[in-house]
Amino acid sequence: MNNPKPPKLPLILLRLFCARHRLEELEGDLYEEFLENLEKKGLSKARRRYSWTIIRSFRRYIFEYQPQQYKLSYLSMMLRHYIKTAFRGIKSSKTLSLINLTGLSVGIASSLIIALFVADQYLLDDFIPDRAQIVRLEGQSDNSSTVGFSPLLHPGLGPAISELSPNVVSFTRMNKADINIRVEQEEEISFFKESFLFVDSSFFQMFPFELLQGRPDKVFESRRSIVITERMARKLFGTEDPIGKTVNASYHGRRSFVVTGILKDIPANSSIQFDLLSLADKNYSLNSGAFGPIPIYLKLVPGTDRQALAQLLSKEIANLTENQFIARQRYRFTAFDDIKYDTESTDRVIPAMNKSVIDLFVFLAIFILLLATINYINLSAARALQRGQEAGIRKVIGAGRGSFTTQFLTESLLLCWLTFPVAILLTHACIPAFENVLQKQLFNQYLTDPLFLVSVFGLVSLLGLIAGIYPSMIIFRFRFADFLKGKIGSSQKGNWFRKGLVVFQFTISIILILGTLMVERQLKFVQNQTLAFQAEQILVCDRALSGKLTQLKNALADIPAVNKVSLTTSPPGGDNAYMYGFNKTFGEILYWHEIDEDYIPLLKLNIVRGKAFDVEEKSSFDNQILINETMARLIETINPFNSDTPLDELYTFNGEQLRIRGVVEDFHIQSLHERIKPMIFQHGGSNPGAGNLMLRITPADMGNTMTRIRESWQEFIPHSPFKASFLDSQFEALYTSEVRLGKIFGVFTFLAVLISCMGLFGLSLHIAEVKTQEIGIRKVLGASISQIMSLLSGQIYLLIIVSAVIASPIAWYFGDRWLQGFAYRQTFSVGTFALTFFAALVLASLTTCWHTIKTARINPADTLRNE
Amino acid sequence: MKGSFLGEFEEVVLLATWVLKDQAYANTVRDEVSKHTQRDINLSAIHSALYRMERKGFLTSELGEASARRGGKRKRHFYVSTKGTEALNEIKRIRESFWQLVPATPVKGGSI
Repeated sequence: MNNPKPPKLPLILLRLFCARHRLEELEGDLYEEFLENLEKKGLSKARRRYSWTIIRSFRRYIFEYQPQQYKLSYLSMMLRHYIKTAFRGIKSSKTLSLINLTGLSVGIASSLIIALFVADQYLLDDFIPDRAQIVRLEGQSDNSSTVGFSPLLHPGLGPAISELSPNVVSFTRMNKADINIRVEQEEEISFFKESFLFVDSSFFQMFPFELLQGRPDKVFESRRSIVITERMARKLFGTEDPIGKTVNASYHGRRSFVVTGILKDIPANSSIQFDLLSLADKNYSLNSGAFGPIPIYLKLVPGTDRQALAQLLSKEIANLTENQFIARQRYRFTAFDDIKYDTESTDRVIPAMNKSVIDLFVFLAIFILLLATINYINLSAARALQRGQEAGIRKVIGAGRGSFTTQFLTESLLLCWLTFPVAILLTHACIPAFENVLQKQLFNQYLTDPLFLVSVFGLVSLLGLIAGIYPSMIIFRFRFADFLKGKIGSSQKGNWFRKGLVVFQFTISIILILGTLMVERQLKFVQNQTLAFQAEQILVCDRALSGKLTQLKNALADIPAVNKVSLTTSPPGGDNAYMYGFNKTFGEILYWHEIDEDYIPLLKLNIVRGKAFDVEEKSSFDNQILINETMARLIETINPFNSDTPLDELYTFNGEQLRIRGVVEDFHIQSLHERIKPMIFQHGGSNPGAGNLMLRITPADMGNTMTRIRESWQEFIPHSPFKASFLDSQFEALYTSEVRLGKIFGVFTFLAVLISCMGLFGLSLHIAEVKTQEIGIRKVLGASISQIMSLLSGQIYLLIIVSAVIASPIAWYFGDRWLQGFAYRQTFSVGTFALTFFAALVLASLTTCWHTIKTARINPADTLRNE
Repeated sequence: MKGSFLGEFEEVVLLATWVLKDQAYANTVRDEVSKHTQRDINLSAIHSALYRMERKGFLTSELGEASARRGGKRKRHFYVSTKGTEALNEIKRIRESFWQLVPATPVKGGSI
């Protein structure tokens, strides 16, 4: 380059802002330095230095404008003026500005927090490059009474579909299970229960998890291979090299695995989480009747017509198998990105989250942001009107519409920019608490993400613009005379709009309060249901497979603090191993639970008809069953033999003729989301297949009791670890998502109400200020303080009543939809509504009373003197 | 006396201006200060100090000649005023009166 020039942009900035009389010499000095650096250090360094010096030059000396030279830097001067008046405006009404600032920061921060968690959920798995091509196969059998598609399918379908169509690039089965493992090291045996993922060797082609040791195409050369994560390697083998070590696990007859690869720890933003990776069982032939159903994931060629492929499979499958059940199934694909929201058909691999919950949170974020914005607009408008005289003089001097708008925009933007750092700090400070409640760590680093910061800044600026335009619009509608008479403050113009906004705010707040109360009520109802068992005294041991369980049961029953022990497949509240099957006679799926004679008394269930199992009548164990009330009703409705006493008939279940010994009252084995199923209870007899021990314990001296239980366990079943939890915590685990929802909802409702109250506070301040003179005159004429208070707050009560009327049906509609998810639910009560309105009124009174009382008590002489 | 107080950096800049006599403008002052203090100093810091001291009355200034090397812009020459020389002398006097009282024993922990 012949004539290298310093960078242009910094120079333009300097010229814009620098005082005229300083500009020439500064430019000269800078240029001289630039040339010097150019010779010594080269072009790029010289340019960088030049820009840097100009940035550093924004100090006092370049702003030392000289009065007679105003016209020279017009833009800079006007900006200075606007900023100055804006700061004066902010200072002159400190309370309003503070309310504005707090409300807006809290609003922005809370919607940011929600947005971050939602974005994290949305960005799940974004490290898998081809996830748009990955789908899960799902099937639906016509003769099943369950509606909807299931991802649990015959494992032979994977190879079958890849042979049918060239569009299938690869496929893998995936199944996840927590399995007990045993590691022997230097005479020491340690037990763990860890999460296994069983896959096909093509797994790494589809999900590129990073291997630290071993090659993706080599690690699964043997069926006994196992790949473990770094974390797991440390846990199992400490500092030793894990490659080639043995991991013992009891899984489908395969007992020992050899470590062939080490995975980098699975990132938290992966929806597939596991610690040990091993091959799934061999493929069964599609003709085999017995199979372990398993989810199948496929990778398709980009642009594949998925519907056509699914139809092809549904059509061709009949030619590939003699198994009628499989042949009759219809198939479809679900995209990988949709699986995490699919709560209808879930597999154990990818946990599904209800999309409507996410939508709910998005709405919540938008609502809170709206509330904060409305507050902001309302308060700025009120303040702008207060400063009517200032505006009037400006207008008379010759300020045009543009200058008005700029002034309000500057003021509004300034305040918004002040909230920006506050909001970011608030967000940062509150995130850990939310991570705690949600039991989920935020994965994406938002604070260092320029996109995040820029978009938040953009949002804040947009808010500032919107909120600044409205007051400038209403101000401009007045005529000069109005301004100078100072009549704007008490004007009715724009009043209906502001009132409308307040009604909107309170409508949203009341809806949120109603929602929170409803969630609380339902949760309490759900928790009360488990109280019937006295669940806090019932200990449930993790399932174990052993021939000695009966002996263990007898040993445990000898411990004095243990009142009853039952061996069953089906402790209520979670980890169950019951069977179920479709029954042709009754046209429904029936649920089989294996129990013993202690099950019913242990849970303190009532027998509504007949008798429970009795040790004295061992013969009854083989051919008699108990049923629940739902099953009894089903039998009475269907009544296959047209008998007068259908419950006394013999029925064939599972190929056996069985007599109904008794009917048990309906109770909840599953969560209250599920309807109570028709259930059959069979006695395990002398050789039970059940694996869960359930103990009712006297709460005194718990530590000692637990030690004795553990000792007995280790004596009889040393190969499996002892783990147990109380029934109430198991039930609670079924409702964790609701409990979290309740907590979060509560917090944000509180914030929304707080913001609305701030708005109300500001509005009442405005009303009080506007009406000071009117009140003065009324007082002189003899009005009492209570009359004046009702005059001031009457309006606000009216607004709240209107909000309540609007809010109720909306809250009722959405609440009802949420409750539909529970088979057993509390309904809305009128009391809840009444309580909420009452609370809203009290809250509004508290917020407004301060100003109201203050204004009502002012000495009329002080206010009237102003005129 | 308030207003006559000089910061450390200001003192150095003022000294450099004095040393440079009628060749003192921002760039030469910067070079001079850098030379003596062995520090890299940004031009804007010099500007800031010069204008501040001019406002306080330690310096006077006038516009000088333009040159191609400055992109056709004139430069501002700075001269130390009487008030400036008095302030520098005052500082020197204060320092020296302290130095005479400093004991000859080595500083605790020092190696020299």
